[in-house]
Amino acid sequence: MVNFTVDEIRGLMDKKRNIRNMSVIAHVDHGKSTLTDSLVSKAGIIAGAKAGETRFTDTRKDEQERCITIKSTAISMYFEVEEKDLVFITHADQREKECKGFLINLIDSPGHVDFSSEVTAALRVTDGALVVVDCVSGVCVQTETVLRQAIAERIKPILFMNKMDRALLELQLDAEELYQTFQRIVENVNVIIATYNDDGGPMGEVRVDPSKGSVGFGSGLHGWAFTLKQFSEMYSEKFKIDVVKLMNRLWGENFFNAKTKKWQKQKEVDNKRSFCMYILDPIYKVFDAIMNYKKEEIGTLLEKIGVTLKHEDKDKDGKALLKTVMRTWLPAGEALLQMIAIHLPSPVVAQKYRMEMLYEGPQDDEAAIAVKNCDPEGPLMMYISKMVPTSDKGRFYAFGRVFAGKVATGQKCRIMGPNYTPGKKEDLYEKAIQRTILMMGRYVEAIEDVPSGNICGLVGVDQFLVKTGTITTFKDAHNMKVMKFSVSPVVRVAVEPKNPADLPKLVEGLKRLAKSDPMVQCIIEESGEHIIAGAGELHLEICLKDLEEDHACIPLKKSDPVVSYRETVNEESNQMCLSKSPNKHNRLHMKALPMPDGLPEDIDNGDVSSKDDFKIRARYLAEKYDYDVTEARKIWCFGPDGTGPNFILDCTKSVQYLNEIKDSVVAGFQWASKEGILADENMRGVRFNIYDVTLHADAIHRGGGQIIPTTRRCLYAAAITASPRLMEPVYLCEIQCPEVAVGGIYGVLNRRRGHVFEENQVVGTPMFVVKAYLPVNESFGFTADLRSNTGGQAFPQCVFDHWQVLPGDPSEPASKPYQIVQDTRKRKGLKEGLPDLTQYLDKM
Amino acid sequence: MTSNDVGSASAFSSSETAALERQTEVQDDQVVSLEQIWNERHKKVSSGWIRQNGYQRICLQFPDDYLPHSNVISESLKAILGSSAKTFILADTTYGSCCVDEIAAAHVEADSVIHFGNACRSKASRLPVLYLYPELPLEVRELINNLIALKAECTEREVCIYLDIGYQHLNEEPNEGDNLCRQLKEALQPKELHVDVYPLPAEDASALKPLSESAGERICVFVGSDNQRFANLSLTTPALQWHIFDGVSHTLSAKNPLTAQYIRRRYYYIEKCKDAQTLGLVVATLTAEGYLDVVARLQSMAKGRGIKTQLLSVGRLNPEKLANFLEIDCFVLIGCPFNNMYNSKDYYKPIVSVFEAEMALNPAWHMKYPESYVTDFKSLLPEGRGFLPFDEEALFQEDQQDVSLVSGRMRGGTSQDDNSASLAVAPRAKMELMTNNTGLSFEDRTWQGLDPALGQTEPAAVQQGLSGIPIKYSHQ
Repeated sequence: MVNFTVDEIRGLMDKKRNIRNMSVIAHVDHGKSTLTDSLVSKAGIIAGAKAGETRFTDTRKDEQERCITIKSTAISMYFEVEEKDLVFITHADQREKECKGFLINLIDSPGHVDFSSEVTAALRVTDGALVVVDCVSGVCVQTETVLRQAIAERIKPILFMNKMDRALLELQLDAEELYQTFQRIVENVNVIIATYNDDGGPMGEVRVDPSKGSVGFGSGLHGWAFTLKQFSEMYSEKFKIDVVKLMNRLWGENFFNAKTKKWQKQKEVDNKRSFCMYILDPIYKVFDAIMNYKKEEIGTLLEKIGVTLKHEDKDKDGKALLKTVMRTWLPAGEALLQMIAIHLPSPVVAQKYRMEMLYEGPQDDEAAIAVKNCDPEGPLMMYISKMVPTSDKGRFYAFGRVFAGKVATGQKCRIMGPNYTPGKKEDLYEKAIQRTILMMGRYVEAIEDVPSGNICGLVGVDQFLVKTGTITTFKDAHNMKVMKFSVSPVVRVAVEPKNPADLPKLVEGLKRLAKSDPMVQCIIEESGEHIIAGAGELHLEICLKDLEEDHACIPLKKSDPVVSYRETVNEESNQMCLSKSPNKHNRLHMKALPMPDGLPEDIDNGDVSSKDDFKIRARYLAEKYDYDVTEARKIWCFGPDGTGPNFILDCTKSVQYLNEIKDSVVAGFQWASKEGILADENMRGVRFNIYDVTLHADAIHRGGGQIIPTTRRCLYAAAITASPRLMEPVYLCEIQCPEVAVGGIYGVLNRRRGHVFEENQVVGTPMFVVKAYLPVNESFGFTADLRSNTGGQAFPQCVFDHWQVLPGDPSEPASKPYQIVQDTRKRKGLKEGLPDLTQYLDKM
Repeated sequence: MTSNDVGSASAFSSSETAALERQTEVQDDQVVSLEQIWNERHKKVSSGWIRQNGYQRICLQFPDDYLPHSNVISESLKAILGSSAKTFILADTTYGSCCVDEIAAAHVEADSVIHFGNACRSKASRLPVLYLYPELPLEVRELINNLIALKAECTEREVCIYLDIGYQHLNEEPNEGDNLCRQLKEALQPKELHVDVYPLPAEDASALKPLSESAGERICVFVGSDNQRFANLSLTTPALQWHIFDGVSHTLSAKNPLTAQYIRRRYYYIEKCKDAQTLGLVVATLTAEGYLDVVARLQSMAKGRGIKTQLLSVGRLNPEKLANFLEIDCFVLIGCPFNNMYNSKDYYKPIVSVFEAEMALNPAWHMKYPESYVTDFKSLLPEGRGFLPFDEEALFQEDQQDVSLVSGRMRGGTSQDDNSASLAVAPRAKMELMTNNTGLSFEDRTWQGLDPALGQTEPAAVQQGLSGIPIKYSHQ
């Protein structure tokens, strides 16, 4: 972007069909930030020579030091598509007439699993994704996770094969092998896409295809890249074949016989795969000539590919020369930006099919229609996906995407948090936007207003939102859907100030931390512990560092990481549990039983929820889990917090006044399911049945005061008699390593109660991929342990996968669960020992 | 008070069995003998006080564990005073036996009260009160011999000795000119030495000596057992190290100051209090001076934050009574200093003390850490030691965004720039007998009362209903 003024950028924003909002996603260390740099270098914000070294999008000091992206960063770029290329953009809504300039808003996201909440936030505000895959290591676990998320959010992917320089220089693959590698990666990616996307769905076909030009190849570090389109253009004149047709010939089972000058569909002795012959061969030749210092050859080659070296580059040789030559011949920015402009959807196209995934309210109200049409004249609908710290301590920019209408400085808006329900006042604020700003890497720029289809930041909204929210001017608007994260905050540490008098500073710091990260949870527990919960050790490490240095600015004491457990039951209660109210006039009869496998996950995912129509929910439960339909219709509520993976079910027959006590029972159930009987942890996967209720005839004697504590006691009694168990979180752990190190991995995993369920060789490489389940509790220090046992060759990626029952009976003092229960109780300041059934169970 | 007085009328009178089954407050305290609570000195003091002031109708208020001796004491007092005076025994005090039960005394039109045992010394507003503490035997020599062990620690430091009730006579009797203070000074060689009784005598309780700069560096010794009074004292008094000298077993034990840990734990409840949409102000004292001022102060602070309040008086607190108020998110207990901390997990909604409510609601406490805990709400009122002015303006200037660390939600503040919403017409519920402006929202309840379905039901024949009072219907 060669020095645009804000007014010029604002002009571009109005051309909504020429906007591309995209994120760059990939597995960790596959080269996203480096690749982004080469895009930015083309767009002109940093000098071309520094691309590959600067990590422009890593704005934090620790990001630069560790060479790892922690926060996602947005940059706007400007790119003009040449006249001849405009014909490739066929869809009418993909470009404005008579306009060659494209505004590309790019978000670079972190690759490490621990930060994948940042990816989720980035995906929400973009319409397309550039999936980067390291062609040496292939499709990895995180590639799959982010790609799956992208498809679920209806984000259209394009693919880029990165690190081709490594494939050529280090692995020395020959051309056919390299083609096979590419072919396999494309297939793998398409398999994932096909698994999660329905080709007949609203987004249509989203498969990536090199012959269509939606797959790029190259090296972000060296700053060169190409798609088949680039080569096709070079050869089309020579062959007198149309560019599009030639692109099809250059990929797949197309072979050219140089002697007969004929195209063939099968491999034969004297023909050669077109991709290898026309694309890889020239590249190999350049590499070979330059790296082996074949001076004369270099000269002729450069002439052939039309590269003239600048005067100052003439003295270079080896890698430096290679870089210069490749960058001049196949500039990465040009190829990638073309690919982005041609293949990724404009907001106008994308919002048509994304609206139903984005908006909670009725699909035909004013807001929904405005979002669908990306209408800048409609009511404002903006989604805030994350908060970005400002230089002013404790204040944040609210970062998000305008889906409809215009957001302007000074405009009065409704700010709705995730708990807002239409018609109520909770989580709703009506305030004026203080300032609208453009966010570009580490710089911000004030702007008057921003129309639909664009990404921007707001000042003065942060006080009213915790992390995310909807901003609208439409009075009857519902919320935009909340984001679903692929990771859960299962690892926790307790912090306390070294000096007790710093406690208020810590509390304030925790509040800021909670805001600045999309997923971290900061909680004060009843025991007085201040807990920070994150996705993994690295995530926590960064959070703690931020807290100590930026948010609280006080020295802290940190506990060892602990995991949170869940309480469940193993079988049906062995007796009917009766509890009497304090006045002895009301009796409740209940039993607890475990939910069938898969149901708690369905509730977590929202497939079964309190918001469903009870008849539809009952039918679903009956079909999938064999529940009795009439019973399943009488689910009173889910808990804890009204949405959790436990429910209470009314199995009574014609009990008088039952409706009157429902609120009290529900309150008691929320209480009990939040603070389970064993260790005060949340319950999970427990179903409670109410079989009979006897109530006092007089309303004052069956009020909340009598029923709430009784319900809690009865639920506890039911849980104790249903052989209670603890559940622990389990990671899915993917480890990449060479074959020699596999043995070491097994040893480490065995010691940590992990178990391997898959072991594969990455085809075409000497690398192995081991997949295992590893209890989170055993994962602390796992990375270091693994490295030391494999000579630093194994690198694990752990992501929370599921909850699993901890084997052993917590009521037996010798068992592990017993120990955990006691430790937890001690930490929480509860009475140690086992719950006493007689305290909760009454006799007739 | 409020409309709920009607509802709690039956809660005030519970059945006789409940009174018999109730757990008394006798915990770890030793069983008292008559000699300890009614010796010659007690007799002399009380009869002198009565004669001097010419009281005629005297109430004797006993805690539960003194009751076995109550009759003897009453008789003996009558014998001393002769027929001119009448005595009444008061027991089973509503909120806690530490407070003077002026209401019960008023029932018998008493003109004075003699209070026995543990006392919070909250200033009574209506009647003259004489406090009589038990006298537990303790040799000063014994005490000093034990305290000698602390000499190394105490030298050149400020030392405070607090005498629990039962040991206060040690300080009062300068026997043979060899008083406690001087002996201790010799034994411990401190920089400065204070000997105080706890609870502080007389009505100057709120006029505690201003804390010196080095308050946090003091060594404090409590003579008595590790009881509620010690907990109270150690929370409110900053010290470097606490020691308890148990007068019964003659053992000295060290206790770390708990204030920091306790306040950290209570921060959870303070957050809960900030989260509350509706606060219940539970008045658990009827005598202590200033409770209405505290109520008014809390109400105005809550109002400034847009929190609704409900004023309740439910007698002795228990989980059942408070759980009846489903819509209240947090209770503030306004009670005497010895009776305002509830940590039980049995309560459906948290109960906080006035001090904690003050920390939650008063913007002056924002980012401020208390030097010590305050149990006596009077010191939070103007002119009290812990008073911080409430500035409503500061509420709006508080530019900090506020996230609840308990629920993880945004909270507080005014939700709109202008208050145009008040013009909205609320739907009127059917068949209301009276309007209730308690500010509680019942909208979230699923059961909203019977549907009268007028004209849709067949008239039914008249049937015999229930008779008697709800606690025990006569037909059952």
